[in-house]
Amino acid sequence: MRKLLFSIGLVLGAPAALAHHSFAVHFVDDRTIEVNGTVSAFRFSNPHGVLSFDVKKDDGTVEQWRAETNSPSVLRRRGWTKDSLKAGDSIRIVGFPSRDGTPYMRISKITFADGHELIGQGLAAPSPDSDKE
Amino acid sequence: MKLHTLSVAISTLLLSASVYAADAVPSLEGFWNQSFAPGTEADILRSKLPADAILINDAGGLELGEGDFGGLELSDSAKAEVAAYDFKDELSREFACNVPSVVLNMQAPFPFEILQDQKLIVMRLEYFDMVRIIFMDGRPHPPADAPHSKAGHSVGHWEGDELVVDTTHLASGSFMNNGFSHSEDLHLIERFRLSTDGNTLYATQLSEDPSVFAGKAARLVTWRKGNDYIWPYECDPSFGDLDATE
Repeated sequence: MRKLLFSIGLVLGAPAALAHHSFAVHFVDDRTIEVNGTVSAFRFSNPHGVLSFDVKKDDGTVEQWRAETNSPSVLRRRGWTKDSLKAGDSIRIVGFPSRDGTPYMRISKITFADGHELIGQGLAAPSPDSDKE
Repeated sequence: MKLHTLSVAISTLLLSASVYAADAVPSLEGFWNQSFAPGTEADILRSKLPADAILINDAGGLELGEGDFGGLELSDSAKAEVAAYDFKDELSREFACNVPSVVLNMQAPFPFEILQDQKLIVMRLEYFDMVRIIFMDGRPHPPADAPHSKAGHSVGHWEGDELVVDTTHLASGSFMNNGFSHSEDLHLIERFRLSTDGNTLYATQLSEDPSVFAGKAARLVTWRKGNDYIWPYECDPSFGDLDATE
């Protein structure tokens, strides 16, 4: 069942990835939230990939969320492609929430129903040092 | 010694000296990826920053929050720019592909590649597909009123085993992703140094821009050598429009 979880975890030393806009201003950078949802659309181009997904709330209503990735040019080296997410995919997404309280986040990790994961920013993300080295 | 023989001897000597000079400087060539961890030899360059420089801790994976300028004292005009700045505009299609200048780009968490020759050093930055040319042939900067660009005009020289790059003619761009821009008069001096094992590259940035902030602003940046190459960035201003055609 897709359920809004909002489990909150502390993130220590999570790297902000400066990109075209300020991360620190737009996103809470010291904790993450966790949301279950179903992908409705995904676009993967610089400066950020953008994911749209539907979240079923406890009262039965559906809320549309958006999440952005850090730069696709960085994520491609971690195995992401434009086909990594497809409409209808059931996912659990961990991310840094927007500061203005809107249903928007920066993706830290996505877990699919079969257990495989996509790693985004911070939280267990491999250091750029390890990219293809 | 006959004149011809003397000439050959001098030419040989100069050629040897030239080869020696080329060999005497370290090769910075290769693919360099931002490291979020400070390296063990970072203090060597940090100690060479002027005592009055303000070291801003926002390089690589770090960013300062809204209203935090890392200790810089902004000018009245920069403060006014910050006051009028609306961070929501950063999410607009018009803003999405604004190219940062070298000042911000060189400390961004993206890789770059160095190609090195005696008279020229090329830095290919993945972020926004920027290419920097560092002239090593002793030429001066162009006249002050020459065109400015986001890559600026860079001249370099070696001081021992450190590469010193002097950059002017930078087109205005965000200084720290925090609501104000540097002016076209910013003067940037970077000092690059290779670690003893050759696998880490350090650089300090020293910026002066009196109309925007007082004194000298400094950053320390660290990269780790990688086995990769620069991929295209190709910024897409419609990135957030999920209905747009790619």
